Amino acid sequence: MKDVNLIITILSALIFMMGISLLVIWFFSKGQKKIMKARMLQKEQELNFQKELLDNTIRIQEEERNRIASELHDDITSQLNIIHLNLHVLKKDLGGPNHNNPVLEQIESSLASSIDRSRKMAHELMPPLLQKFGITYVLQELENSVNQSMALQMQVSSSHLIGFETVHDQLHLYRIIQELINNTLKYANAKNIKISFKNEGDQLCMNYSDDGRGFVPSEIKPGSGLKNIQSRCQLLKGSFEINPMHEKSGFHAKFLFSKNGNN
Amino acid sequence: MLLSFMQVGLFVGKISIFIGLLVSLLILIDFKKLPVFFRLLALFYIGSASIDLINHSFAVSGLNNLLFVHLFTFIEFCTMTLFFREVSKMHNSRLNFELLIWPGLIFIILNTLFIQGLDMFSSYSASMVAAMVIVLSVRFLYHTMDSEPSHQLTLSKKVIGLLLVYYSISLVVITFSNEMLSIPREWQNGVWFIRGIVLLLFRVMIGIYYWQYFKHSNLLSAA
Repeated sequence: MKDVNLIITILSALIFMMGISLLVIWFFSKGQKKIMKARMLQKEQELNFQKELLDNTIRIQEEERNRIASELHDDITSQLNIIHLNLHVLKKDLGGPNHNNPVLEQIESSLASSIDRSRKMAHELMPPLLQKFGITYVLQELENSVNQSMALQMQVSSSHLIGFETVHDQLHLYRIIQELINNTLKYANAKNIKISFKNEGDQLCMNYSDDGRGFVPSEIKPGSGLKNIQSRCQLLKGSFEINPMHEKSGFHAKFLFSKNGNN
Repeated sequence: MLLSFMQVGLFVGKISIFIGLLVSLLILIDFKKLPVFFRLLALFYIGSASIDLINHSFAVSGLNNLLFVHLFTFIEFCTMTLFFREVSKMHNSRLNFELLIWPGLIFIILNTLFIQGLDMFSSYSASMVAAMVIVLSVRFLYHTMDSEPSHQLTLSKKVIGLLLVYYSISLVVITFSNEMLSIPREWQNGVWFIRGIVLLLFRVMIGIYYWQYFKHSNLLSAA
């Protein structure tokens, strides 16, 4: 009887210890899963908040640009035009169109270039054609204006594939392209720029390349330009890769956007 | 009943020794690739497999093998304490292991020399080691509950989970080992048989984890 009691005690202790150890493992494993889930949720919320913040910052930035552009266009440029007109009247009063006063000539030429510059600035800040005619037309205009400079040749192909419906999304894409062209002009010493669009499944693919100096992506520090591209890309639910084909010369970037942009 | 338990127990024991030696060889091939905590577990594993083989040979020859049980307890304590000291670094533990190692070693030596001599099973020392492993396992699992998961951490958790189950069974069997001498032999064998099965599973699982680790590190180096 004593033996039976002892064996029952041992077996009970064995089952108890086995159960307890398995229970401990189950408890900690479940607890860990819970903690990880909560942490994931928190990270997701943080990410959403950051995205919202970024979205708002860029929206405010665009609104401010729009305001400055309209001030520049409607107020300053108009006033400069009036001054230009008055100058003509003054010149006429002083002795007709054949009257040659070097100071007046200097003022007129400076005024003309200031009007031209302020108009250009207003257009760069907020292309008015974007709202009226859409991104395809604006890119065509950009292509023409770059090609007119003769320093660089730009070619945009298949831009009709861009399916972004809102002006906001189109503006993000336009700003990305603007930033890329700026970089090419600043650093690349290139002769040609090619921008092409194609559909890749449910995504819009944009390839940008120039025949300039190029660079090794790992060797550069991301500046505000690249960060701007990243942020706008994120807003278009897109991604990009620099030099995806590992080409040895020039700069190449591949962008993938959601076909409907941010919608 | 007695015969069947003894036969099956002997068979399980032989398989366990064979697997232990096989996995030990596998570990020794790429020992340098292992992180420190896994090396310490490997030393314990190799020591345990080797001493099992010696114990078995002595038992077959009818010689007293209790000296090796004392020796194994000593090795087990050292490797397990160092193992837990290493894994505790994963959760920045502030536990002073020095305060655990020296009193533990003194207790084992005193037990071997004065309390349970070389002609007795070192149940006190072995129970102390098992209890220590259980406590440190639970402590580790608790402290790493909110740690960022990594391959090494997940693997160490699996290993420690196994250690917890194995030592929980061992603690009961070892604690009652001297009392069990009074019960019929077939029942004694039954209890030892349960521990033998758990030991076998423990060895197989540890072998699998080592294999997984090597596979993972080879994949990483290939990438």
